[in-house]
Amino acid sequence: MIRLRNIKKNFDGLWALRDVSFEVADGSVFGLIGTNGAGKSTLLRIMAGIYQPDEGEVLLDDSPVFEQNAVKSRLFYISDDPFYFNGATLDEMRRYYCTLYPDFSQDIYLRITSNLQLDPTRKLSTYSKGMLRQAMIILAFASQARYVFFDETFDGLDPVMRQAVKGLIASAVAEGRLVPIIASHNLRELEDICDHVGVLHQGKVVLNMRLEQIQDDIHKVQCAFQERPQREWFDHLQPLEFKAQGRFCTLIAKAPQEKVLEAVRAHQPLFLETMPLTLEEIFIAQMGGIGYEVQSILV
Amino acid sequence: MKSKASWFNGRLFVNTLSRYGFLAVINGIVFFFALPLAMLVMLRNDPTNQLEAVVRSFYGGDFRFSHLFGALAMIMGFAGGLTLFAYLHQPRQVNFYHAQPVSRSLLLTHRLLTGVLTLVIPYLVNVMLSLIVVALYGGLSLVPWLQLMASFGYILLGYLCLLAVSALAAQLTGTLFAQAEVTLYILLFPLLISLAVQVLMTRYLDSYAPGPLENLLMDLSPLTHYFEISAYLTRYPDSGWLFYCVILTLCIIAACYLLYHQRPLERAGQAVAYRCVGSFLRLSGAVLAGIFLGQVFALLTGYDDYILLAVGTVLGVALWNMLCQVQIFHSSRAAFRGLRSLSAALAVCAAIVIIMVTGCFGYDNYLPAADSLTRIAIDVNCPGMEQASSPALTQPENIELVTRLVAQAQQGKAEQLQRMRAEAESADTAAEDRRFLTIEVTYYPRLGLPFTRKYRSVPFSAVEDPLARLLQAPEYLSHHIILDSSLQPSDYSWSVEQSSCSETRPLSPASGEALLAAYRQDLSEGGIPLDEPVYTHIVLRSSDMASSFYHLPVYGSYTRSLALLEDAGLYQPLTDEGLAQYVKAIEVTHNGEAVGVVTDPDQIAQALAASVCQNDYSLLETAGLDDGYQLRVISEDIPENPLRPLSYYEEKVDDESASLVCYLSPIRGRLPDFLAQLAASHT
Repeated sequence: MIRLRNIKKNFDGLWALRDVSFEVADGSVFGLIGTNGAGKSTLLRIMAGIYQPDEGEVLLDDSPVFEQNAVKSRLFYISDDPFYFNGATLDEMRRYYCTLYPDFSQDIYLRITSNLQLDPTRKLSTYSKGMLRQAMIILAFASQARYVFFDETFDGLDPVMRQAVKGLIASAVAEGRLVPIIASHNLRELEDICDHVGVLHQGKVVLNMRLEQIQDDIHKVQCAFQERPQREWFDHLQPLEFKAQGRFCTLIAKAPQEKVLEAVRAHQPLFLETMPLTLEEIFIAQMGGIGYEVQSILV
Repeated sequence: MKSKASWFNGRLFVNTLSRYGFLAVINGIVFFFALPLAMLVMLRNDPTNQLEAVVRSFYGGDFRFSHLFGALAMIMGFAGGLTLFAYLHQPRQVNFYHAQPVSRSLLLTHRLLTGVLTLVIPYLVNVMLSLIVVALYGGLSLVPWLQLMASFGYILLGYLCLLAVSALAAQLTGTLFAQAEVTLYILLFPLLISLAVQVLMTRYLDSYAPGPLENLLMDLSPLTHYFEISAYLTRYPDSGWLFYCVILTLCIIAACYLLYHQRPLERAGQAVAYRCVGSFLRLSGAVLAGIFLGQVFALLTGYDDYILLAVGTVLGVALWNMLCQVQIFHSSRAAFRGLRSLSAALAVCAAIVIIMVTGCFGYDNYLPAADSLTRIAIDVNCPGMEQASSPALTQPENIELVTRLVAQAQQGKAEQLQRMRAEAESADTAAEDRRFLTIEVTYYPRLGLPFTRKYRSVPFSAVEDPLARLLQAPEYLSHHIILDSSLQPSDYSWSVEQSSCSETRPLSPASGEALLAAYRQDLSEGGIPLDEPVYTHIVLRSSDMASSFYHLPVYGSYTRSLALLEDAGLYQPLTDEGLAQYVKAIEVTHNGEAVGVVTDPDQIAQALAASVCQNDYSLLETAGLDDGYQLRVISEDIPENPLRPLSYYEEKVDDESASLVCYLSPIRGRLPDFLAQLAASHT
């Protein structure tokens, strides 16, 4: 289990993290979502023991992380901009990581390298961005670290590779060998694999829930009325999003479903349908609810 | 799971070493050119005659080569530190290394050890190659093995010192350029502070003498220790400096570990890793720049100019502040910000200058009470006291005597300054005292640290009385080299120099021993008389490598010594009858102006009998002379001339045959009337 308690981090007067607290339980796949500059990478680096928080603590299995080799040997951090030695091949990096992780598995390394069809004798400087990410993923799995932090690792992977990596993560989690924390902007990808989501905005955790719970708490309805619908009809629901096009409107509200439906039916809709929410819609709605206006932030 | 040692991991270290092997290659190439190849080139030209000199110089016996190799090692240490710790300035590498299950201590240890091995291995390989070269020429037996090992230790220490300083700079900064700058700053800062103190104190304080504070500041820089060691290793080993340098290097390395553990890694790519470091660099550098540039400007016109001082100070502070601002904020527009630090630095500079200009709280006038001192040391440039540096006196009466001497010196200087300001001219220029003394005194208070004052341009007449008593005090005389009971005649070579125009004439060992006994007795009984002329000098040169040299005056009252020297034919009294017949003329100079020429034999005889040979006198030796007169004695260049040993050869004087020339000074109180009349008539 990973516990973060009251983490604060300041960079030259700018608060990157303000009182961040959450837990990542064993067996879960934690998705860390955040707007640009929210503090995701900073948080992951604190969790990986690279940075020291100004306040608060990070506990991995009830042990602090910073400068604790035994604890850090149980985690692997994949940076958003991976580093490798000049002129090194994947095999050479493997040899390097072997010296660091006592449980490094040659078998897993060879198997995944083969599955992902990477040439381990080729210099990493000749790899593409996506191949480099794959190489780091191979090393992470081969290290058999229990906790792996993926810092925007899926960016740059092609769809086939993404599925392959998700498969690896899923099977490792199912076997109880892995507790991943995945930071990403690509909410569609996180939706497939994460069961727990934390939303970071301006250094604070604005949402921290199981995905099912979020989807239970937030509802989206599409409806049509005889006259143009007004936002004021639904103010009592404090909607996260209200879009009206003519007599047609889409409403997202964080309230029990019955209450939302009741509010809509009160205005005799011609058409009413509840829609499933994607994680992206939840994210945007949540951000919109707290003042972050985004037209389109994701591709 | 097995936990790894937190300071070292063998496999990881080998990996690190292999990645920085290029440093060893570069160092190896440099040493290859500097050692075996250079030796080969020098030996090929003249192997027979050059072999011993080359072996001795390259393996540590030569000052120049030790410095060359030492400088090379320090440059390598500087470059090695930049290379090995560059990863701390790159966010990608910072994330990479510090996410790994290794401690920061381990990372630092591996880097330092890698740095050491990338010097040691190529150096030893090249030493082996050079020994092969020497063996090929048959010179292995000439190799000074101990000196060779000492040189290796010296080079390694210099390298490690610079590597440690560079590593420390890496902890304090976030860019490569800043690391290089801060490395130089750490090395030079103590020296610059010491220099600034000395510049200011020398400029504004009359009695300033560098003391323990300035020495301590110098000692804080690794450069000071390192070059002191180089000086000692080429002559004789001195474990003191070596110990200090090793301790200082170890302290720097310990500081690296402490700082690295706390280093905020997110500062990679920023100029400084700690904000306080940036503030310190800005303020301290600005103050130093302001002080130095201010002093340069103030002296541009050749005399003190306070306006230029202010301009220079402001310019120095502003330039430094701008430089720091640009580096910290990576923007030229930031150069004109940072007004708070600029103002603070200007305020500090202004305060320092005001304090110095106003006399530094009465620095020059301060004189501690005699009973507040445990001892006092005084240096009046007395011949024979050089080895004692500043002979220390502990007896209360002597402490009181010295403090009274200093009080009279201060009063005499003040009175003289008043006279100069009032532009009063003495009608009797002959009586005006033109002799000035420098007195250096170190006070040892009961409470507090010892401090030194140097009283310059003290009128001799103001301190003559207490000085005369001091030079007779047995405690003071006990510091004289001749009265050192451990002194053996065989420790020195003995010779005599009656005139600065002549060569020194050696004594035999037996004569030296006899002279030592005689001089000891003369000195013990007569002290150092201020009112007597010096008739000749005994010159002592030490036999060991220390090259000690003493030039001891033999006064008129030292009758035993003079008699012994006269018997040995090493002293020619100028009172001997018949000397005048060999003298062609005496040119008389008074106060630097030629006043006449004496050719009358009787007058010549009188002048000779009333004079002594001129020599490089310390002020203490001139008290017995009639100040202002110089007699240039021209005598015949013939073997039987008794003045020959006192003179030097000069060709063609006034178209006559070549002559011998020597210089004399009249004895105070015995100046012949005709000489005084000559001087008076010229005036």
